[in-house]
Amino acid sequence: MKNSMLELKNVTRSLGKWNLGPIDISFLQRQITVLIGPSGCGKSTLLRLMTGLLWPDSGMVTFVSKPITLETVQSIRLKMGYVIQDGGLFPHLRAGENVSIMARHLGWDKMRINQRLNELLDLVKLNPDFMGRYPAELSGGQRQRVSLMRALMLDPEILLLDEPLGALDPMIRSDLQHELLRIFHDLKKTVIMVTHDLSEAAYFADTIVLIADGKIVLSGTYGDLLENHQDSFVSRFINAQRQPTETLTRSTA
Amino acid sequence: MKVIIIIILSVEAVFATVQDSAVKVGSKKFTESVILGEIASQALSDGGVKTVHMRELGGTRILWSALLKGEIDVYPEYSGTIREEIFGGKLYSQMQLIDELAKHGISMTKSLGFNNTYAIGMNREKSLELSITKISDLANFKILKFGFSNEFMDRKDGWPGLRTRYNLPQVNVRGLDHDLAYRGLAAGTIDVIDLYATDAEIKYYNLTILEDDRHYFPEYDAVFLYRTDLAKQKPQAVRILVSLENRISAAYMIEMNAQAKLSRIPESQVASKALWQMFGIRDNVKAQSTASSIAQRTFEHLRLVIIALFAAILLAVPTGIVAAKVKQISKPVLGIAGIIQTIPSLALLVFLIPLFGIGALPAMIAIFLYSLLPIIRNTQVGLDDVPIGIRESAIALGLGTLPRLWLVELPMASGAILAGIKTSAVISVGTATLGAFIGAGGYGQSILTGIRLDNPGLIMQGAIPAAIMALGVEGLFGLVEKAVVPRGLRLKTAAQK
Repeated sequence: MKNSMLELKNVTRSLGKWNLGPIDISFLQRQITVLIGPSGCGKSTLLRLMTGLLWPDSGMVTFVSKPITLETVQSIRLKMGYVIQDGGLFPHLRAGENVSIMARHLGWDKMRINQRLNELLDLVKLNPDFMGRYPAELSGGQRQRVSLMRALMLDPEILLLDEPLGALDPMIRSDLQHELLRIFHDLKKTVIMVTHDLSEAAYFADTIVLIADGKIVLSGTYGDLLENHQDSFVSRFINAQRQPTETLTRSTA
Repeated sequence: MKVIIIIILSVEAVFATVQDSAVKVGSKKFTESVILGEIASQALSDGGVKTVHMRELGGTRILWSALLKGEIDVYPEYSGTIREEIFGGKLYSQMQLIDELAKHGISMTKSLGFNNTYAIGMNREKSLELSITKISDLANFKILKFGFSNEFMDRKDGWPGLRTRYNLPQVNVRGLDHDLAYRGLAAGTIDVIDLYATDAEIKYYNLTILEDDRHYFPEYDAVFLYRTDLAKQKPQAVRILVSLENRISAAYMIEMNAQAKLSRIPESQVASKALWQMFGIRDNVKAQSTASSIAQRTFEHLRLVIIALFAAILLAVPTGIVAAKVKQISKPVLGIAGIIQTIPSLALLVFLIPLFGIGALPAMIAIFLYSLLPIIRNTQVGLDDVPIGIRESAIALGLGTLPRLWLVELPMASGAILAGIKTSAVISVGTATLGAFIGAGGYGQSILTGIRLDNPGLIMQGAIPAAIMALGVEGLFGLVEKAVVPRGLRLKTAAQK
């Protein structure tokens, strides 16, 4: 029986015009969970509630059964890795400085930092030369690899990724998808990833969580999702993501 | 950084102590007052009393209040001005006047030997043409245009009283600078001006002095006013001032004014020549070379700008940070700084005199106040402009508020903050030229003296270095930017272009 790593209990949050929740969900250890849904459905908001970038109006978020509060959030963040769409790298720091910023702040010695950097470079398959470059001197794909390194530097227990491949062009995106899945399997960490792309979700997910209008519509495997075709939202969402080739054959038929 | 602060403060302290132990002679901003101030300070120096001459500080009110506060110890004044302007026109006898001054802790020498009364003058040709010889004759010519110095316009013993005493009907009366009035008269744009009996220009412009047939103008005997405590602290200084009593005739004063204003001999040389002729005091005042005078002005100017700007940075950057973090105070803070910015600089200087007196301090405070807004605003905008993704990434990494500010947000805002400081620095170089109005020195002194003496060369001696300094500041900040703004940020702007 797998233990719960992160849990949201009866969480609500008002966001001006609309409301999120109430949401109850538990993320299991070493599972890859993908949050999916149309843009504006609340999936990124959910991720921000887990990192304490946003706070729930009611309910509770717990990390390994410990509630995330103003007092605990700082130490819990050190056990979380967070990657956003465009990487969120600090433009004034070199790639290596970006990756090691927290380690240096926590007073790691140079040897330990370098050792960890080399492990991570191997993991994400990045040339060590890139560590001396500024973010502006890196390609989009390279930036996301550096961003992932930064998130992994302190060896967190959970990885939170908000559309990590969203800003990349399709070929690089596809390459990185393979890389990322390999990395996830190597690391055996709990992963929560947000995407709006169904095929990406199917590719990564142990569990897919479909969200619409601030509520969980369905939670299960990709197979569960396909079987729930009778639900009108699920079917509309799946149909909206039909492959272009499919569309093409049907229209010429 | 700390070293720089310490150096600035110690330079400032040394300067302040030198000024404190010296007798401070003030003078008003017209030539005769500067010459008399120069005579006093040179005579004191020659007598072994350490002296500083704070030239061209302003009008009667500024000098009188500076004397009361002890910011100056001595300045040349006229008995009529003391009676009418300082004590409000009550008919004090000489004894009453001395008693009244004593109540304020001020003493007065006897007359220096001449009476520089106010007088009313006009072109000789015009006066002959209209047969005007007396002030009362003016009442018959309503169309005559009067141009009076600004001080005369609102002095109790000036135009308002003159108009009443003589029932003058003229309505076309303008206030203007005294030196410009002579030129207006020569050009025919005005017909009648006020002047001083010892003005060198009377002869030069061939003017007729109209007889004061109703005895309106009181006596304006030149005297030195000094703080009574000076007699206790430096009796030698008072002995020297007293020794100047009755030594300067009206003719000699006119001659000295002519040398300074018409022959453009520096006041310090006019004064040292006079002391030589009167007392046989050796001429040990070297005429300051143009280069050393510019060097001195540059030092004074830089000192004003650097100290004020430094203080402004120390206050404005933290204020900008707080304004960026606490939105509620952002508006009031920027509002206050904005209001300060809209106060005209001369007005601000005048406001500051009652609080901080005259000299470098109020000038620095004015420059400091004007420097706040650009730095606060740019600091706030620079921090606000840090993209949300970057800010949240820093939070999610686990950096606390202060490390986040120090490691991420301030470096990213450094370009904007530096641009704000640069704007303030360039403005400060300009504002500092006005410091001369309140005795702070700097390039403004050359400009002010140049205007007074109608000497374009002297004006340029102030204006050109000030412009060069402003350009230099621009250039310097280009270099500082390269050193301070992280390379990664400059790359980004290059990529965006």
